[in-house]
Amino acid sequence: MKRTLSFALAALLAVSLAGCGQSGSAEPAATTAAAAQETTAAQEQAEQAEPEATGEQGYREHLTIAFESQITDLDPQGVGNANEIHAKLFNMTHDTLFNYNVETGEIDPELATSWEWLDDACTQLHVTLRDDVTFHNGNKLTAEDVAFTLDRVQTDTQITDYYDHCEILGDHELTIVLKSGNVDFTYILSRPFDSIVNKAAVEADPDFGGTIGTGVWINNLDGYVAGDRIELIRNDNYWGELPPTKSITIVHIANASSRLMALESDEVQLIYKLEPTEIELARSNPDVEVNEFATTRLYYFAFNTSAGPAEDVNLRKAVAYAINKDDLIAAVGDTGAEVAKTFYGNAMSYYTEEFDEDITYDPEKAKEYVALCGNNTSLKLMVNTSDNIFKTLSEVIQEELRQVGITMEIEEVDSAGISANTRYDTATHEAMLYSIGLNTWDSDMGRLFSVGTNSNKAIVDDSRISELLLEGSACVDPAERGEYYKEIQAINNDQCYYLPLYYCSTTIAYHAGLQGITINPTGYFDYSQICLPE
Amino acid sequence: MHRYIIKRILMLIPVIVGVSLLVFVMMDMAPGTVVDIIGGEMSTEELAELNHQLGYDRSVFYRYFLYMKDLLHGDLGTSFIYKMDVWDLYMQRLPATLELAGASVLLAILLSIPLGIKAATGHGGLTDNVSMVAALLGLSMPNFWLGMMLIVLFSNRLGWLPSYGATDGIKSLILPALTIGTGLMATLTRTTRSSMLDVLRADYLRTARSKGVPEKKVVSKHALKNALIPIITIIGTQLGNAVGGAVVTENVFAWPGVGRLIIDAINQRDTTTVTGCIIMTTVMICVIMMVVDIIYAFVDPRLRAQYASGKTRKRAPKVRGGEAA
Repeated sequence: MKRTLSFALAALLAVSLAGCGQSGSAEPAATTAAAAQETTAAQEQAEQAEPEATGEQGYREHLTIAFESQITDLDPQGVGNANEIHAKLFNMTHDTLFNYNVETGEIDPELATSWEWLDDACTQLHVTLRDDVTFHNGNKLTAEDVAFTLDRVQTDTQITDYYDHCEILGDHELTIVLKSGNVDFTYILSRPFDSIVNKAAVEADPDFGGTIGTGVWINNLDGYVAGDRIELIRNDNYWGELPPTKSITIVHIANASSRLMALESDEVQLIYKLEPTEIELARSNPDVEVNEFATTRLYYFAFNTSAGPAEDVNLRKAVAYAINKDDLIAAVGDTGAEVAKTFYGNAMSYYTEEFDEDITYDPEKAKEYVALCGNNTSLKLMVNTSDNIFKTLSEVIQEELRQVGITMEIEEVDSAGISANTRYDTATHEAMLYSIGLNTWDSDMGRLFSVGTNSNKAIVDDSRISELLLEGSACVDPAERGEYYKEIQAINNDQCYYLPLYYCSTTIAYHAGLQGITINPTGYFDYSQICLPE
Repeated sequence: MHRYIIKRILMLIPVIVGVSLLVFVMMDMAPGTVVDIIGGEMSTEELAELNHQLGYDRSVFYRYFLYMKDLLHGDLGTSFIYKMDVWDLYMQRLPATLELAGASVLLAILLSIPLGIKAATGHGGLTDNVSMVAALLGLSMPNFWLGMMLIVLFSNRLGWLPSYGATDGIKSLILPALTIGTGLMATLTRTTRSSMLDVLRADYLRTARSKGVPEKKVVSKHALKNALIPIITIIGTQLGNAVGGAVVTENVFAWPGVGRLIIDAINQRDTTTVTGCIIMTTVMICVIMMVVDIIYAFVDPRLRAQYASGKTRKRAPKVRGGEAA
């Protein structure tokens, strides 16, 4: 209930903030699991044609947004870009084939006007493209650009595990052929990292050609200082709705206090992520609005189930019963956080809380499992030092485990170190604390269980889960799919490969009156329509 | 003098080789590589392929050899994180670093030297005591705290100056320069004072005074010139440090300097960027130190004569409170 309420509030917020452009953007069209999906958005596109000339009066021409992390690459398919910060930029500068609608949870048209699965196994997706879209360099969008973009994705397993090739049927028509069925593929293609780039531009300039998209905002490379700032100029030839703002600067201000002070002095108009201690301070300023909202980022505890002490399921269960998740949330001061009752995405269709009893805090039960472990009662926990939250969580967990008779040693390493030590084929960790931003489609859980991938931090090699994931992603019957995903959750709860801790909340703060932000619980915010009335 | 300059330039070669080797080996010893940062959720096969592409399946010395080969052709390499030439990356950040280093050192020179002289000539008086307490305060205040306080006052409360970035010309420069400059001022004031005190007690100044030379001239012409060597050394060292980047201040003011770039690159195990930037910083520091040595020669004719004869190793300027150049 709380989860539903949280996302409803986020959706409401999105609606309330999306106010400066014209109303009547594309409406929800496709259903999640329908084998045949067809959506025509021509009418809506016609409505979106031109910005109101008078709308530019009374709005600030230039806005500045401050991020806590650096923008290191402007190319959506650049290696190592798949994070929330870059997603926000690509949402502004590029377009995807499909748009995930945060209000309805459905897929809307974007560069694709209509699409249809050609077979029941969901392996062939027929797509028709808009014919009025031009890239920032003036080239027309064609099916070749889409095929080129998908062929270009080399290191994203969500694409490479399924995508085979494209069959180009015309300038604006193609069929995407998959190696195995994935009913969620349209959702996957709505991610900003799969934005369409111009083939000619990339071939002419492999380093910066990918920065040319079809989005509302054009990267101004003269105003790009890698890792520090990027200036964006409004694309007046954009095919859709235009905001009244003419230019935007995105800057990297790493220090949280400096970000807030820059906002308070109106040097920046939007900041992302406030320290918990600064939220009240920001709220006390009448010129600043603060929004705290639920996210799909799951903090979790992962055991190395392939080697070491955590091979023993009794030890894993003892740890599971020893952890009080409410204590963890209180310790990190995340007032908007929600306890995770199952290891699954809280915004996914088949998320269920019915396993609650399996992993509830119960020190006595933990002691019973400890007794079954014999001498195997010590564990080394690897913690990422780049985020203070992990350190706090590890200290609370250490004390809780001590109370049930488990000795836990904390090993601190930085991001690169933790990634190196937890690689699937060479993992040396015994247990670790980590977090993952889960998407809203169910097959996304495959990232955590997929054998041989770097995101499988519990080094799980469970043939039944692999089978269920494969069947679930190709199954078009919602009820049947639900059963597959429910079983995955049940297996994890029984085996305790991963212990779900909580879904965190996050905050944005902005100049009072700022409009045009679409908040997405996955963190892929859309600032394309951002504007500030004078 | 020319021979001396050529000699110093040639000395750069072993320094660069040593520094770059040290950076390569230390980065290799740290857990994880850039592949672990950009690898994200790749499969084992994809990671292995990326490792191969970036040369991480070969030994650190082999990678170093390849790097040095490119360096001989003037190529500092390409950043795996920023996907740009390291030279371009460095040059994007250098102007901001030089501005900040120059402004903070200039601020320190303009305020500290007169204050140090005044404190020395009025030894034990009000100015001396006040300046020494101020210097102690300047040394004691951490830069991150001072920077924050300056932002609160001048940006948030008064709205006079920008709180971050380097895009507002001289207005952007004032607060970060003041933050770094405060620490430099404290050191320089104390050095100037103590150096002047040493000289002011010298016999030749007593002689000058007894001959009726006005005190103002005694201080400005005779004492200051002889007290300058340690002051120049401190200024050179401070400028060298500042050119390497003031990481804390750059972080507080989101200043796009080299220091922040190097730290970010270290965190992301971007060895090419770290090595390239440190090589460039080494060159900058060597050049600054060479300029400092040349200035010594202008200040002290004895050193000029030594340079000319090529016996520079015998030179050992007396330094108080700082390292010899």
